[in-house]
Amino acid sequence: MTELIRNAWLGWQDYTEHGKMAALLLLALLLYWFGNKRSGSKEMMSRRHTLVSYTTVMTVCCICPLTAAALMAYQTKFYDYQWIWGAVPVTIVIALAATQLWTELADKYTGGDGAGWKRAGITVLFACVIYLCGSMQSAVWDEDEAAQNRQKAERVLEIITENGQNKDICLWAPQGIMEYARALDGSIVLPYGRNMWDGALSAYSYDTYGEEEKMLYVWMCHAEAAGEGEAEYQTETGETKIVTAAECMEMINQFAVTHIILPGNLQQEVLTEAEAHWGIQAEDIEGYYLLCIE
Amino acid sequence: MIYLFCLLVPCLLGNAVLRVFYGKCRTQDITLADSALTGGMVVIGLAEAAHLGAIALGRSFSDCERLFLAGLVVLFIVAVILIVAGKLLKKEDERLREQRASGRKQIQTRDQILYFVFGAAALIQLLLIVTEQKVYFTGDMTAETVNSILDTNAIYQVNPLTGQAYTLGMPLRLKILCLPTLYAIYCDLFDMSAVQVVWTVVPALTLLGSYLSFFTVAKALFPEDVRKRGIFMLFVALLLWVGDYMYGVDGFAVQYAGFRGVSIRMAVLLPYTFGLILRRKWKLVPLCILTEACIVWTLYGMGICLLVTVGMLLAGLVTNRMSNQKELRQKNGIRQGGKEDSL
Repeated sequence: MTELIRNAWLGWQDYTEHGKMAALLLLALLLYWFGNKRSGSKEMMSRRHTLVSYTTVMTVCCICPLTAAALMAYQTKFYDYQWIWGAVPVTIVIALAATQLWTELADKYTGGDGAGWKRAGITVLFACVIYLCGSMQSAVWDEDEAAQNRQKAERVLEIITENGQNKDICLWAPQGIMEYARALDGSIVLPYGRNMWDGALSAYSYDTYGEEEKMLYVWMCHAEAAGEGEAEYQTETGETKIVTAAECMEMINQFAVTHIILPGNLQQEVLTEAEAHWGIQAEDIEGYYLLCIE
Repeated sequence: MIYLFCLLVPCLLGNAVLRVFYGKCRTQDITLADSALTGGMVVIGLAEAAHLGAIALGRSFSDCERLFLAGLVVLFIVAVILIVAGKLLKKEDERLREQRASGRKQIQTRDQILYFVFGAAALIQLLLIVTEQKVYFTGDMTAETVNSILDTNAIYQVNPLTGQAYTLGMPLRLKILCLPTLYAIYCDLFDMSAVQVVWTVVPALTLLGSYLSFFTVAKALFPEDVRKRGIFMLFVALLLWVGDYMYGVDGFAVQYAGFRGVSIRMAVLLPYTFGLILRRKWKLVPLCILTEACIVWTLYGMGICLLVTVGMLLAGLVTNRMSNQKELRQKNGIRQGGKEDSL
């Protein structure tokens, strides 16, 4: 429970750090409770009152760490803090308050000179406030880099599957290629999957990786970053071990890897060692080196 | 073709379900949006039944697909019969037509502009989803799972992330969720890749479903005011557009992760649940709760839709009670004032 409360506390900070929809929601609730609630029939007022009352209570529950922790326990630990806000009709209530307020202000300027311009001005003001409380179109993740990686991966995998000629393909490659391999082609097998670097995916399976898979991943990451053939690996017992290219080539055999993609910045001697080990010439594709060792 | 299938079939099925649930009591506030959304939930329910059947009986994906299609054909035939029978019972439809005609107001030009701007905004969002394919798949393996199902013709026999057979398996509460199987069925039926269906088609349908859901809320909050409905939908479109700053927020779910169960819950099921509760269409609420259990990991079937339902029920009871007490006090106040005057 302590962990849940801590996650609830940190989750609220994170939730309000990137955008201000929560602030807009609180403003909408204040406008409702302290503004003019009498518009429409008794039935409609009752509906709005029920919706906003529920929203107010749930908003408080989502902000207060104790009740937020209870909600997180209810939704199961599989999901993070921000998903409890699904129980709060944030978009609905903000849109409702904005609609009511806009209509009230717009009706004030229905007649007279420049009424149209005044209404337009109110509209622009509302749009600006909402825009400033949102993302302001700043990228949440590096979308351009992701798009480039994906296109590159598509081209590389196309070459590999053409070369593979419908044979079973087991691929070992840098993260940027392996990330898309199984999504683009389900017949490609990998020695380790995205859950090696995306911890959230580990919840989808009870299977875990052995030391060999982790060493292969660490070596490939280091080779891509530094172009070197030796990488430092922290074992489960806390020792620091040096993983060499030769060790990786031995480990690969147990995974029946048929295709290896090495980073284009790899040191020439490491590449030569790999080529000599399998007696094949590396092929230059899209800035990587492809070794077909089937 | 897939878009037509995913729009028309649910509309037809949903229409039939609404006739069964509401029959002669169908009123003008049940719209095409209700048909489409209800039908969508029926399709998910059917996929869940086929998925569970295949897993329990150890059948292949092809058998699962056949079971799903057989169920769909049966429901389709039943739906057509119900709709035709309903049309033949002229009294019911005449009454409904009269209600709708009396409720329908001429949309003024300036209100038409509102709906036009909303439509343009929604269309631009749809085009961006379809063309840009900006997908946030951190923490998700739906595309890999669909590809694994298609490649092995089996459901959850291999680890989707590696393509190798499971050694220890996966949690049962994830195994029972049917969305990857449903997506795989669509891939197979329409000869499309997993990436096309999961990262393009489904997010586009989720966006449409989301706007339909919010429209039902607009209808519940402003049943007689066409202008306010238009303004509401315009604000919803704006909020979804700019509210994409964080995974877990409505706008982000709709624009970048529309294929995920949590996104469909957040953007489609939950607004629809609110719309149903506000309009007191209680018979359809359990469908939302059950649909959520089919697509999202819940606490033994109890999810956010159930929490919302209970919360709104309690809120309704409390606000009604307080409102009645206030009225009673006002009446007593008036009566006392009258007595004092007479004295």
